Amino acid sequence: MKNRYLKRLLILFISCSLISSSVLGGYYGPTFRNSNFDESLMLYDLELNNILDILPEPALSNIEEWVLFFEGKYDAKSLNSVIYRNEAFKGANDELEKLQSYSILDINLLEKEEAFIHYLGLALHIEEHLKGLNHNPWKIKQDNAIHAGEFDVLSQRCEAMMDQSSYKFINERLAYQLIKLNRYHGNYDEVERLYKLHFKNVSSFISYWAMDQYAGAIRKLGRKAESNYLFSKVYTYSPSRRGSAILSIDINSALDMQSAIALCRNDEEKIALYFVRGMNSANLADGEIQSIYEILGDHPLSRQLMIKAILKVENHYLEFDKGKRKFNYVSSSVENYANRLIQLNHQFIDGDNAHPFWRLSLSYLYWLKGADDKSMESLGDAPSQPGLLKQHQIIELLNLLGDNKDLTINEENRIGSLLYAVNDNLATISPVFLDEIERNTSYKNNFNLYIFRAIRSNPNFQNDYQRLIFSGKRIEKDLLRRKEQDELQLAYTSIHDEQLTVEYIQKLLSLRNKNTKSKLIDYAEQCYFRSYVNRIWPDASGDKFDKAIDYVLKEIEATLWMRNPDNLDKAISIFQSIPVDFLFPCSGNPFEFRVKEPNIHLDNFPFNDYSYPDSTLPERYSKLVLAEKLNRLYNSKKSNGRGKDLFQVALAYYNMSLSGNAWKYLSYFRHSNEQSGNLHWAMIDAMTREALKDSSLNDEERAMAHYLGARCQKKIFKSSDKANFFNFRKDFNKLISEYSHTEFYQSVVKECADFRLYVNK
Amino acid sequence: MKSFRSVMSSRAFKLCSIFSLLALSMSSCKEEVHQQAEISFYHWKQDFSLDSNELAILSDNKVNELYVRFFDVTLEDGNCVPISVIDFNKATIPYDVIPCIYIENRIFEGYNSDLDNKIFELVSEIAELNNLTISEIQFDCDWTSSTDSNYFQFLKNFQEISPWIVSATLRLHQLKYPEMTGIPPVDKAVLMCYNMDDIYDLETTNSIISNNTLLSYVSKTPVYPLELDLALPAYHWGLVYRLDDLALIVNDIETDSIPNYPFTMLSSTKYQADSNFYFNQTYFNRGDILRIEYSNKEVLLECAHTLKRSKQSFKKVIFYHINSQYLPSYEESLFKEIADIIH
Repeated sequence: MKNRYLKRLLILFISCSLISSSVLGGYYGPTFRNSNFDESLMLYDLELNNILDILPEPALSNIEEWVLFFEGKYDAKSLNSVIYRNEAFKGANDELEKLQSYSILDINLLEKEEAFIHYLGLALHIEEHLKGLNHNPWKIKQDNAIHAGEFDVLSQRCEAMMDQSSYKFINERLAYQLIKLNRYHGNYDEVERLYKLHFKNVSSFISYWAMDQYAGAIRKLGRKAESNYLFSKVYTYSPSRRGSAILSIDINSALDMQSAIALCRNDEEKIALYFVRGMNSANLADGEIQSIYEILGDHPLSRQLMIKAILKVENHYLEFDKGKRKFNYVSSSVENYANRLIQLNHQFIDGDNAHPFWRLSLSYLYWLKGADDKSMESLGDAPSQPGLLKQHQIIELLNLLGDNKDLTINEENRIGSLLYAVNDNLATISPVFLDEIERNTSYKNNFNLYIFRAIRSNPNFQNDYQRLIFSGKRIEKDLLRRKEQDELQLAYTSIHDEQLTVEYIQKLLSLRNKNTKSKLIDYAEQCYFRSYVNRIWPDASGDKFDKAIDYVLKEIEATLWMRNPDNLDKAISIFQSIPVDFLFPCSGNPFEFRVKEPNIHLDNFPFNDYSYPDSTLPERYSKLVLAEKLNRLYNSKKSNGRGKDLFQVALAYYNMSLSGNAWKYLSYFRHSNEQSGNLHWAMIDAMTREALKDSSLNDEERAMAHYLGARCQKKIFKSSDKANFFNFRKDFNKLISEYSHTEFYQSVVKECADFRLYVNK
Repeated sequence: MKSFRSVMSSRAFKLCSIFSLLALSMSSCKEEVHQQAEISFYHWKQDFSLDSNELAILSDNKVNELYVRFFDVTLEDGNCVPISVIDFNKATIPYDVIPCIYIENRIFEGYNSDLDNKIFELVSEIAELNNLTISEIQFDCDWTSSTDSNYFQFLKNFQEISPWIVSATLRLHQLKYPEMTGIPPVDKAVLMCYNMDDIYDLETTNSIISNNTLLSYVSKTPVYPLELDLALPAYHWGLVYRLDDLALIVNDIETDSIPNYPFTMLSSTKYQADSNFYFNQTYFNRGDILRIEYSNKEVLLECAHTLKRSKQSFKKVIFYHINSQYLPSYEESLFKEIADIIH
């Protein structure tokens, strides 16, 4: 009869939030992650981690408690693998041995370890038992008799262990297990008795987990006000249980609220109820900020609610994708709401000893509304607390940036300096507050990206070089990896359709050296080029970094020249003008003849690796050395034997094409589906034909040249005339009719499936 | 020896039954000059209950059948599960009960081979526990082009295993564009004439029902190739818009009490909340716009005439939903009047 309670409780809680008025939004957690007003700034100074943590994983919080219990003898990772696992309990001795094998400190805690192992065995058993209680949702009548006997055994074991254990830490957990067991068996009165017996006036970590169970039980006993009061305490003081508590709070009338408030023992508890209501994502929270103000004045919880309110209103005022404000287009209801928030901020600022937070929030609200003068006026002096200082700098920067403003060099310098300041002197487009990444939250939109987008949409920043470096990406993923998905989804994707051409690179070089470089441009260049340059000159800064960017671009220009043997002189000249550090030796031997076509999917795995150079393959030539060798061969003046040299050039260019094993000499990226770059098959075919005119080639060499030509013809065929499948590779005919006596011919028959198909056509 | 019924497949048996009934009704039609369409109601609460007002409405309209929502089927962790399963509270039900099962469309984005059995068994268990005799079941699913084949397969499978008549709901666009949306393989369909316009748009006048919208769907639409019943709205609600977006739906809103709360009246159906307060189990925030939407008599009658003029014919009119808070606001004769027009 009671087995279905677990699911039923869940369904009830979900239903409560859905069926009540909150049908379209009942989430009480912080949900808005796209912001210039970063909620995590509060973490820096206000010591509110327990309030502001974003739904931490309950298991991890519990593990941290156990790490403390074991005085650091075991780290969290080891304990996690012991406690939260899939395999069954293997017996106390084995488990103890396993636990001790993870020890990182040489201290004797045998008694604690044994107590832990005994507790663990029981807790895992209870977990298994509770899993078995999961009722079949497709049945009304459940068969629960088999669980009743086990419940008695487990309860008795819990109680016996509590009698014997000398550790309060473990006893509290045993009491929690007992409460949980009784709740899921529907023994709600017993849950209440046990909670009062073990957790009255206790505020330990596990006591809030027990309170969560207790609140659920008394909800089932029909005591709604009490359960709301308790769930709100769990929500406020136990971040690890916040996720379940939020679904359980069920206040939907003035009477519900008043009844819960009547149970509060002090003002802190009262404001927790307002806080929880304000945090409901559907609610606007200004009323709750005012209520908290009236009870306890300037309180951290009202600041947290103001952050939530600002994030809500910000969504209406900003077009994050475009880096623009749209204050002229908001509705009157949004504007009225923003005005109410402004009024509230003034109320706090006008009070005694107002927290510096309120000036920041006021200033940001004015900026959102387009009242830049008032925004700067409200901003006031920079606060000393690092987190608030950052927010201060962000607001100053936003004001300086304006909308499509023609920035002076001084303003660009100041914006650049502020960007460095808020990012801890690192040029980055990641969120300002890096813990967002650690929380694994999406950072498609963040302050840094907003700035980049704002600049890209500013008509005064429209030249190709500016658009490139404000793309919000890095050169490896942008210029050198075209046609890829725009990972950060900038509204103005830049050069996806642009060809990687000599002309484009020359334009970039010319534009970047045209004007005085501001700190803002420097910041963007650092974002764009830093990680690439770091592979070559990790310590480059100032002029050296500046030169490095030129060298990177010139190296690309020279590589593009190198794709055509007629331009090898130009490539060599540029390669010679840049430091040898930038001429990485590439992998793959361009002069190696392979009958088997390199498998683009497997041979050079990972085939889409844009890393440079590839350390997994043997190094052969630097680009300069290779270009010089190719140039010598290509311009060979030999009257007899020039054909051999030309064949070597053709072979090298085939191998350096995107189908070859030495593709990295002429390209920076390849993908099995999206090939771009060096695909000059006709040029290579023409060279083989020219080479074959030289009578000094022996039969083996001629056979190879015909085979290479046929391979090029196959590539050309793939992209054009499908009707003439066998007319292409006409050099195969030559191979069959004139060179079947060669050793090379035999190897082709043996290794080339395409040739065999052609022969048997 | 096998019985006649067990020899015949349940599907064949049902088809025979339907044809017999159709033949019977057609022959009787010839003899009658005019007959009113049957009237029925949906019961859409989780706890089954009928108060005296509701019983009176059912009695006045000679209702024999109630369409009762048994449960919804949703996805949890990738599994189909029933939620909000009806509790009959041991009530004795003096009506034929037709179970209604709402199935979320996304369920049919994948193929659920066992769903038909699960639903059949759960409905059978509920019926058995509450001494109900089931002869028909109705499925409600807003299928789309990406789910139609799985949904239709489910309906076919269900008919194979169940002896019941199977009906399915039909949206207006599915009536108008059967070649695009497909025709559900069921014994009959019920055309849902409500939730017609954009609920999310603050400027929509009445998202529940609009004769103009109905006209655009039915005026030139050919006869639908399935027997049809008709579902019409008999409800009202409040839609709460917060910062321009639909934030809440307040079902069965007590409109008479609105003057007792701090609302400013913006129009006959729109109000603005002047402060934060609870009303109708809902927490209103200052600035919220409350739009009241009704299915009022005039529009219902207009729509009934539109449907009468259309090429469709309906055997039964089912009103959504039996509700003592709102239904008494209609004139006692309204449901009969509509049924009279429709037939």
